[in-house]
Amino acid sequence: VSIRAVLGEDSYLAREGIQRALDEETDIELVAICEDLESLRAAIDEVQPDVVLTDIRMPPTNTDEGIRLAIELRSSHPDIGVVVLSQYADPLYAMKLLEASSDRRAYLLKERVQDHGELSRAVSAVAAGGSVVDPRIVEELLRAQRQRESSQLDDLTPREQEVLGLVAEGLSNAAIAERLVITKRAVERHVHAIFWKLSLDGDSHDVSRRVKAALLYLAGQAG
Amino acid sequence: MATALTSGAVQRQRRQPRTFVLPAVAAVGIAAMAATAWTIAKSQTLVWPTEMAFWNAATGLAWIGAGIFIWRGRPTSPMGPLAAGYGFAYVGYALSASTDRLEFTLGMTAWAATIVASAYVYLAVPNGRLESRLERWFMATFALCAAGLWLGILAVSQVLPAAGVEIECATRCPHNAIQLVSGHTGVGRALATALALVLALLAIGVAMFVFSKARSPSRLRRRTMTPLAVGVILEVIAFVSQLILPPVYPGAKQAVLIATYLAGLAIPAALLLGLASGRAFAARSLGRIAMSASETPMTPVAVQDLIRDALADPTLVLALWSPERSGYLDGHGAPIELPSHDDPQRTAIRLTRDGSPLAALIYDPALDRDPEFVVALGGTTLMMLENARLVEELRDSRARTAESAQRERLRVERDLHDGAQQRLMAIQMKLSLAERRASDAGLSGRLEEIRTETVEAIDELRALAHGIYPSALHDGGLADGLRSLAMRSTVPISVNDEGIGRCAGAVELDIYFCTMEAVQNASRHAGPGARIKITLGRDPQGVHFQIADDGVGMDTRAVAEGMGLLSMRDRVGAVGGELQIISSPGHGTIVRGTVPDGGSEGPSQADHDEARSTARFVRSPDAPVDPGGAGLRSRGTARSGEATATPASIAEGAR
Repeated sequence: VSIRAVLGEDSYLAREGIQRALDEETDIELVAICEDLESLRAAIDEVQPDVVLTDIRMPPTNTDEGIRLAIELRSSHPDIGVVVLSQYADPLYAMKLLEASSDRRAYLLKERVQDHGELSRAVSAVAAGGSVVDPRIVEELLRAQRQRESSQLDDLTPREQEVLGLVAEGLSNAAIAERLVITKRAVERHVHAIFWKLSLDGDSHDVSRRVKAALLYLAGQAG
Repeated sequence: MATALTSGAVQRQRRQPRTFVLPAVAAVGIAAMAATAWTIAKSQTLVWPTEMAFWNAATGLAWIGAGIFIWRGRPTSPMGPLAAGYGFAYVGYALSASTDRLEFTLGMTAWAATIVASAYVYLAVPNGRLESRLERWFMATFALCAAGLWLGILAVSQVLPAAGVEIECATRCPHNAIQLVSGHTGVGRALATALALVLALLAIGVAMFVFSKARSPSRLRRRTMTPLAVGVILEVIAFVSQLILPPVYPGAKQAVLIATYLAGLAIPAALLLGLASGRAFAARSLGRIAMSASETPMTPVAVQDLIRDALADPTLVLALWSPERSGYLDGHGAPIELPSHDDPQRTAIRLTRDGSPLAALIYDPALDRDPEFVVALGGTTLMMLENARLVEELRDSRARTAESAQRERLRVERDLHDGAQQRLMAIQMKLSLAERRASDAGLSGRLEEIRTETVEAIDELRALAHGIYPSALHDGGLADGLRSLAMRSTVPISVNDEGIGRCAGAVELDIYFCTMEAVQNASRHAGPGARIKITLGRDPQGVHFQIADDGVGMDTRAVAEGMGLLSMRDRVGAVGGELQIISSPGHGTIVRGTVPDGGSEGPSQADHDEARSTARFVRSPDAPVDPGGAGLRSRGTARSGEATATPASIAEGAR
């Protein structure tokens, strides 16, 4: 069974490139191509795709339509996977995309589209419920973290690594406690230890700390 | 009420009395007083003819002299003629020295009238007229009462009431010449008592009015009125005591007489003293305005405060002309009427530029006594308003520069992303396709090499575009922009944005770059292990931002304007804000700034459209060029009318 995908992209050149890259994939079927947010929303409602591929910036406001759509779909169509194709290597967009949960979400830079099936891997991953973050984004984060002279993932205990993996999956503390059969307080302790070891304890947003931790974990997996 | 005051040529034409008038008044005054003194001195009825002759002539001359002096300094004010005219009233005393019954009766009538007239003169200080309806009502009531009682006395009394100690003739005074009915001695005595009471009340009332004026909120008025208030109160005490004391202690008569005349002589002196003191105060105030004008940021309200402060007149108003409403507005933008011509409490001077109204000063007419001062005050005010206008224009111009810089940055960023970057991506995709289809392994390897380089070029281009205008800042505002900055910083940064939302694009951009500069400084100089805390906030004053580190700190005096501090100040200054750097060795560094909030809408839709249309231009060179900058042009036009304005003049006052 092939994966049914719709594409939202306002640039002609990028549309051509993405279409051509997906043409070569036998298991991905591009069923609709849209040029702005409104028609993309309509197409999603009409064809009920498995995966939405979207640019970040699109008409009408040319700001962060793609990210907002991905967040919207989380509640309106929870089963649809979203691959955001971005021209920005700013980790903030990736963080916003994964803020609620990293399930079924991928953040790829556009130049990755032709990279040895990178795009089709991301499409397959989100269709299967997984998550992909462009290595360039993680590199961006890691470069800053590395220079902070502080320990990284290696410093985490096996248990903490396990907890971080579940955080990266988008699980709440309560869900992690249930999964690992430990108390919620124990999970909180682990999470705080992780934040501290990853130098994330200075950040005021708990959500963004979780997402950053997740990104770092995903980066570790990717590397 | 206002004087005709203008600058330059017109000022010299102000209405001076003709050159011979004042000397003539002086000459006639001296002659009249000499004649009066001679007549009184020869009197056969008065008890102390020589003393009376001397004091009367001296007091009359003092008033005439003071009147001439004021007349010369304030040619348009009725105060001078009024004071001089009052001096001439002392001629009437000559008649009361007569042995002739009719002359004596007229002399006594003149005495009573002079008492009432003196009340009017005191109330008319400093502007030569009664200022309030209450004063006019008071004066009219007492004048009518006194006149009625006097006519009654003339009709029924054989012996006119003793005029205190001033006209002391023991029992030698001639009798009433125009007595109509006789046999009502009791009624006459009652009327005389009533008259004494009315005159005493009049004197006390006048003293109260003068005293209350001397407590005016305007310091100029206080200066002018205080000596007079002291003099009048002394005279009232003397006057009342001469009504009361002599009948009880006949021996005190001569002492009371001297005290009364001394007090009477003190009044014209006090009048001159007050006016001179006010004048000196005004001159000092002008100096003070000029001094502090350079220290205060100039706005019309600040100018008004400055003048109020210097003149210590909280009632002064600087009204600005509004061409849209064809009227004057006060500092709060509320319409304000200039005082009418005959308003004795307020007067106005209009300030014009190129013949069109610019502003008006509404002030206490006491200032008019010194026309040069008012002209100088007007000139100083104009200068400060010009200064304020220039400051405002500079601020607007900086704001426009910041806005257009922000638009340009956005346009370049969009050009790079939507133009060059997209093209490079297309090239990279085509290379990838070609690479896979190439049969020759060598060619395929070459193509891969080129493709890798293209990807590196895309990366560099992206970094360049990000440096020009971070997309997170543009899309999500300061909170997102700074969070993105924090995520990639080599120093741990926490961001507390307090949900400030969006600000004007130029404000966001300049705060962002200023913060980035501060963060870079901190990561370079704060030392190992330092952390940075960024705090954003908003209140009615504007947007506040603070970058605090817990590093080693620095001596702010030693680094002065190094370390990018100057460029931070310039950035914040460009959007009208202020920057403060607090640091000392060992205590970290705090960079704190406030920027007035130009608007909370964030970069407008027009920004996007504009940026987009230019981006399209890059992709297809034959598309029409976006004109852009419409907002800028219309603002420029709105101001150009003022920008051409040149020399200023002070035009006719409110008369």
